[in-house]
Amino acid sequence: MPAQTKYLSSRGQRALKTTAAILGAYLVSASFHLMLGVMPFAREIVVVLSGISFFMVWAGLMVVGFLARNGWKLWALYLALTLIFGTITWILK
Amino acid sequence: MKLKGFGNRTYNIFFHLHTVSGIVLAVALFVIFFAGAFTLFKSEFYLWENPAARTVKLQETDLAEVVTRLQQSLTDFDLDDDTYITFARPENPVIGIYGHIKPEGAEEEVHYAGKMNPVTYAVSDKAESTVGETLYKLHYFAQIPFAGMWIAGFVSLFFIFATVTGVLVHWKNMLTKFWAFSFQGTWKQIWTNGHTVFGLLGLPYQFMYAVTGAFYLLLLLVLLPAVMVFYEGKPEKVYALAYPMYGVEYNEQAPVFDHTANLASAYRKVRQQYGAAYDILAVQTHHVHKEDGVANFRLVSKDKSIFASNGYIGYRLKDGTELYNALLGKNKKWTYAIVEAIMHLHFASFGGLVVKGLYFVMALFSCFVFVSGILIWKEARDNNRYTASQKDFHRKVTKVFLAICFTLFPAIALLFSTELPMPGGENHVFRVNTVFFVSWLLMVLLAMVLPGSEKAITRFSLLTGGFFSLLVPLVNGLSTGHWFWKTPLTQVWATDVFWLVSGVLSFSVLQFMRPVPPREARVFSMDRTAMQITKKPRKRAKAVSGSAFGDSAGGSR
Repeated sequence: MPAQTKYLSSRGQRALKTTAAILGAYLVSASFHLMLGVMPFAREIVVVLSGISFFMVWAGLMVVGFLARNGWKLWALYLALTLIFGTITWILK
Repeated sequence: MKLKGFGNRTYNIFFHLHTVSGIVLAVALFVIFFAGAFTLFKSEFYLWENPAARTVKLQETDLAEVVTRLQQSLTDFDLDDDTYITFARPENPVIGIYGHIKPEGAEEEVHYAGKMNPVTYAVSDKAESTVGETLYKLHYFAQIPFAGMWIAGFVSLFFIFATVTGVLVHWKNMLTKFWAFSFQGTWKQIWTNGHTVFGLLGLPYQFMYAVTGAFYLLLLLVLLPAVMVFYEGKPEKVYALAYPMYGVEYNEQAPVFDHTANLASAYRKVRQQYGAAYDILAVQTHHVHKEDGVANFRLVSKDKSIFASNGYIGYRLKDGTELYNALLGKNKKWTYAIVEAIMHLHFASFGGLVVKGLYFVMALFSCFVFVSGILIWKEARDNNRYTASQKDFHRKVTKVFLAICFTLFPAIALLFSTELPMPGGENHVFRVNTVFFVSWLLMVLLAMVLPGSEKAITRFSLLTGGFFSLLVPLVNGLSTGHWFWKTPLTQVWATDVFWLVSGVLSFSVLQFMRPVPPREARVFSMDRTAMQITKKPRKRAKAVSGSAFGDSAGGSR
């Protein structure tokens, strides 16, 4: 039996969530890894392991993003996280 | 034991995500895993596909001769840029050349990939054979210009997504469904069960491939931010974390100097010092014609019990001094080992043929998961919630998808059968590839219009696949005289025997394919008490109209 449609969102919301899942999650994963890599002693570890962990964080955020009830808020959350991680990177660098 | 489940909303969302991502990815993943399964043995069947290579008497490579002949044959070959030379090996007796060419008057250098005969040192960028290369490229869609590798990369990324959502859908019953094979009930139930059990058992393998596949194809997206922010836009600084040769710095203004002879003596030196414990796989040279030229050797330990078996050593060509030594137990940085581990996991290059064989079987299991997923998708929609035209659409999509997936088997068998009888020369590779792709397309079209259901497609693929499989050893014997019962070359007779077995298996399965769903059912389920075996009373022809392998037109018989 396919999933029950009453739990699924409208077209517009779906578009928002899908873009947030692909692009937004990418930005969060990228800025998160930059923040971890900003510490000089951890940079090599982070950069090399990001070859693995980057995709896991990206795909993980993709999955949980779809649980959001409002696609706008999801985008806002992902952009806010990117901004926070980015700012920390920028300050500490 | 049941795990705590998710709420209704969460569960249905995960379920929908898994369904949508799965049906979109299934065909691409099938092609990737099926072609990839054969690619694992690319170097093993090289001697089979290239009869000229079977008789080569290998001798020690003279690197000076390699460089000299390269320069003579390709006058615009740039030996000052990175040049990667792989040495000839008994199972792959050809010298590989990967470098750069600067055409007269051109601004930009272009990549060059070619090979050299290890006896005559003749250079050529035309391959003599293509089976392994064709399948290798197919497994990341390299034949689609520009977009192919990106498509395959995102398929890998979304495969992580599909695997994770798949696990979440079955979270609650994960422990009870583990190893719970069942052959009970309708085909829909069997597909569902097989999909769950094989998906769960294959989870580590599939997850590993999803991640490492994304690593190879989408690495640019990962490194781009780090390179821009931390490494002043210089990607070689990140590559230096993985391979020490990228850490060597060069002076572009260095005076001209001919290192041809020094290259040969560096190779002699590394062989003498490390040849006993290591195989020397390749050398990467830079600035062969400048004073600060370097030779970077890649070695692999002969000790089969070591997982991360690669080592690197670099020599300054001018005086033969060691620039760096990253052999096992000697300054081998763990960052090198991580990137190497990803490679071993992805290419199954760590445990010999046993591991490769396991990988092959796991790849086929994964293909079963993808196909059963398509079938579940169709079966789950075969009810009153859908209109007749919707159901018709589901059936058509399923047929197209299965046609593409299943006819890949006969197409690959035909690819093997075409390689040897196809005349050699300039257009050999193009011709063989044309036969492969055109015949695959024709078989897909034919399978799609076959009357009947998915069963007809299955029978068609088994029939053609079985026939072309049996053709493979026959064609090899007829065109080379190396019949599998008298050739001493393991790679040759093993390839023939593989296809012989494949053909016999195909016809056996065809023979035993029953027109009705299973009448007898056994359930093996492992729970805390014990393994219980239930036997259901026989129910004759409990076929449901439109069930996966029952003829949708005829229904039960």
